[in-house]
Amino acid sequence: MKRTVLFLTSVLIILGLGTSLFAGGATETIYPDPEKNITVVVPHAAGGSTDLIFRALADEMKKASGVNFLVTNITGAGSATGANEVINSPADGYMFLGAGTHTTAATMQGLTSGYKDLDYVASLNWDPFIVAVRNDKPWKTFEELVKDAASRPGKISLGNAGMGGATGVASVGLNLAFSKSFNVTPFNGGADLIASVLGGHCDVGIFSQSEVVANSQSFRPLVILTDGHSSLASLASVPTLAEAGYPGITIPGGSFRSVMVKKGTSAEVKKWLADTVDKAFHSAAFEKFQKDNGLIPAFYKLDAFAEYDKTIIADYEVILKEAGLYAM
Amino acid sequence: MDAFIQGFHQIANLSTIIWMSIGSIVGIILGALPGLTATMGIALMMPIAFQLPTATGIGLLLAVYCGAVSGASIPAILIGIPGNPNAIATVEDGLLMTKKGKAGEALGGAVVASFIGGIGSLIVLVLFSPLVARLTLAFGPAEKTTLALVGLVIIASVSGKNILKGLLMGAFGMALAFLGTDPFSNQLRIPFAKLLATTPLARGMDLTSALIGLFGISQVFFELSKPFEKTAKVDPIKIDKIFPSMRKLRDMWKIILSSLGIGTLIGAIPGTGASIAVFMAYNSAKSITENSKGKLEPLGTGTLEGVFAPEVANNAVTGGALIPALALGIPGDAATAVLIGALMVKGVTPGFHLFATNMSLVYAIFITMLLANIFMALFQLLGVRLYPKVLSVPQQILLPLILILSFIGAYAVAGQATAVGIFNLGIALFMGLVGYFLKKDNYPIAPIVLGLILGGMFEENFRRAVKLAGGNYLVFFTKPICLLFIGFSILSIALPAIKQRRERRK
Amino acid sequence: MFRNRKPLPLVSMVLSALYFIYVISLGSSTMIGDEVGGDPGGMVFPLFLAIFMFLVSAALFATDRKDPSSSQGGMTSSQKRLFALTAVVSLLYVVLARPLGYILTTLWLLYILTFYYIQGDVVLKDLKVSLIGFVSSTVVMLALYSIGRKITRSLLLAARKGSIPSLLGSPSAVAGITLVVVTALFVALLFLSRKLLAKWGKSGSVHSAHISALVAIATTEFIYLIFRQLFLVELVRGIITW
Repeated sequence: MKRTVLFLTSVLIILGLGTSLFAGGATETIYPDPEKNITVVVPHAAGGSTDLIFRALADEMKKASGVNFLVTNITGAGSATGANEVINSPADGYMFLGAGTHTTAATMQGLTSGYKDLDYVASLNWDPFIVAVRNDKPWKTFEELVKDAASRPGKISLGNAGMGGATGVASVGLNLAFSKSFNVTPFNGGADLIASVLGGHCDVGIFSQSEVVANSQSFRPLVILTDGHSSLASLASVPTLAEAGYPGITIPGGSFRSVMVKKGTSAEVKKWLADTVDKAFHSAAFEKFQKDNGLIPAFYKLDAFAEYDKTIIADYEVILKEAGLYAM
Repeated sequence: MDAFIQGFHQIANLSTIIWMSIGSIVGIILGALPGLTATMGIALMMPIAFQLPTATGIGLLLAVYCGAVSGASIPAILIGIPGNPNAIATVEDGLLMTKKGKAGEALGGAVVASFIGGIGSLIVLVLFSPLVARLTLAFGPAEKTTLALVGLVIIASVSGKNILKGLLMGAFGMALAFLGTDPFSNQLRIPFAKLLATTPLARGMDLTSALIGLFGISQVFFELSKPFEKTAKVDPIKIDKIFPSMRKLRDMWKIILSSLGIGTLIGAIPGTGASIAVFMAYNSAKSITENSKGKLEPLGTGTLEGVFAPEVANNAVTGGALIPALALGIPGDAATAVLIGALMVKGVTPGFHLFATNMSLVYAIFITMLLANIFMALFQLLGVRLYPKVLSVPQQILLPLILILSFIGAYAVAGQATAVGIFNLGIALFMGLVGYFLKKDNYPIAPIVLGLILGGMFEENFRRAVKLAGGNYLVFFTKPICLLFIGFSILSIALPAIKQRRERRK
Repeated sequence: MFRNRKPLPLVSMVLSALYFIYVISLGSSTMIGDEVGGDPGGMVFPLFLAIFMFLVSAALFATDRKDPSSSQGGMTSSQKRLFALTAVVSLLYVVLARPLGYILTTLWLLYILTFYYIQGDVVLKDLKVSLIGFVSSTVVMLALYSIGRKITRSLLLAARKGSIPSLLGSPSAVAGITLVVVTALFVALLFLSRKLLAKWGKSGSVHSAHISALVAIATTEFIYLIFRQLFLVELVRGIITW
């Protein structure tokens, strides 16, 4: 019996070692590895506007490169949890962050080391915010709303899609500009905010354009928070803050989206990613997607993007410091 | 109509059909194996569902759900051991029928009954959930707070003999749900926050891993604490007649309707589940047969009526439980709680928004529910002769497989994130051991799950409601819907407590 | 007086008390910019919960007693050993999964547990047979896995270079082909090992080791193919780097 067992094991060992060695030689280092996927970390819930943008982008990147791009939604703490996930992963280029103004805001609030530990790949676009109410509410214009709020501070609720995110910062900024007369209340994402404003539980909400368009029969848009008008026909008549009678107010009135990777990723990998984003961004499908959703293109690659982001950081710093949110 | 066609397109593909067939077969097998529940089956299949397109993934889970609920009747009929609590009430008449040599008729009858229950409740689901969803606009933060309370209190009071244990478990689940970050201030709320700030715990307790631990791993330890079950030796049973006759069905219409109604309604009440519905249906069928003037055979003597009533009811629960799940995001039972988890991970938030913006997905879910019932009936009928074999998988091989599938499931939920995946393994094992010790002392597990799911919703909406009311804590007593729910919660604690006291006095 | 009390409510009381202290130590955090709001803060509810849990567990401690009439004899010593083995092996799995990798840890967990479950007890005299089975299943597993990997990688690389049609090189097709080849090898192994081990009969520890090894190898490879290759879940590689 002993001999049989001995014989068996030795045969097995030879067999095993042989194949292992023979398979071991097959590892080659090429980027991107044909077997690996590139994970796109979206720090917001699926179905929201940030998520849709990165899903559209990932689809086009997949078409442009043949590599599998997988979108994962890692939500929480504004957008800090998703950013931390990327920062805690290896800098091998197989994971990138759906970054943007939410990352800037989360970094400045001290929730994550954010852009200090991330490298710039490419920027995408701006999505302007719109302040809207349910259309049976008494306020016909933004001015009426502001005056009513000033006359009874704290009675009119101003909802955002979550603190720490871009709408959160915008609502705090707006409240600050109008001597804190609104009751700023965070909701559990865009869908929750829409349902609450539709149901009359919250008076005023800050939305992205697509959310307003989707509910156009029941929403009355009052003001758009960017300097220019919306590129969407149905929202083109919505006045800017200056036109509504409040010039000189700076609010981070939109959300900006970009692609960032962990700091320390090699230059070639970053270049490959930036070029792939470039191809995807300028594909017909993605351009149509941006147009349909009223997104304002702002494409910069690598160093140019880093320069562009400096201006955003400078703008944000002022507002967050004033709002008492700055904790860096 | 457009949405319907779009919904149909989402699932009209080979991969959906294949995955749902697999789900159905897996569900029936899991349901038939004693000790494995529908909830656990769904939890085990969830990692696979994550990787599939949303509609296909949900279809897979629904197929497992329907299969497991009706598969439980097989061992109940053949060997008198219910596969899971759904079939508790089927045992009595089912086993007697087998002893009378009518096993085929009992198995076939159970399939037909399950199919009727499933389809009937699906019709109710299709008719009522859009209505309920429209009503949900009236549900603001205050109403949602009290609704979550109702769900928690009811499940605490019905799942187990001791209401205090149920309440404690619900509270424990909520406390677990609070781990992570404060939704309003983004402050970390985890022990040793400085040390653990960058660990996945900062995201909070991972729901799926916790569920897999509570239902999968804890069951492995629980089975280990008992002697290994002798593999059921089912004597070769002659199976000839399978389908009940049309006349018999016509005679039983009252039983079918009452069981269907009971099942759907009990399913739709948040926090309740099939184990209550089957007994209620059985009792109601008893009184119906007593008043039938001899047309129907009395229950408890090995009659088809006694198999039909609970089997219609337990599958009716599936459709009923989906009504609040889809319309409000509040699970009707533990299994739908896991389903909601799957939807949320897929980025679909149940509720008004789902019906307003993604009706095509809702239709796709309805169609997969229909398919799930058809597959369930089909595979169960095809397999009638094979079941004795399924029942003979030895536990010694089954338990390690369940353990490893639980681990892989918890890991795979994190997808590409290795660090999170490994962390989830730890959560699953921890919750598995916790679940084992709780089960051993007869603490119900379902309230923990509801606490985990509803805890965050409860606290967030509570704070939101108070904040919207300008700091007024009494806001919950000013709205009619809230008052209704609060009253309901008080009743559902008070009634069983009074009953308990009365019984103790006896 | 504590004889017929159950320990769980007491544990729960202690934990609730700790939770209470912990919540207090965290402090209340209200929302930023809540000047005119009325946010109750993050402390109110957890605090309420801690008190509630403490009271309920205290009530349970007082009322939920052991039923002296139905003392369920507890576990036998062999059951206790199997239980402890499972707990230890599971813990090791969680700890070692990352450094050692999915393949080895999964195979070992399945093999060890199935072997001792079939044997029904953990006893020293089974150690030799179990070790031989352990080593040979590891070797066979590595061989099977390596062959599968070689097939997968060559197909993927060939598809990228364009030497085979891209349909054949798609992840699901590659997973399918690998599955077919590996299954064929496994079936061959099944027959071979059955022949070789026939003389030990259909019971005893050798038979248990044989069955456990086969179950463990098949499950490990199957899960790998489904999750890693079909669903692209990044299973940890650990020391098996190829």
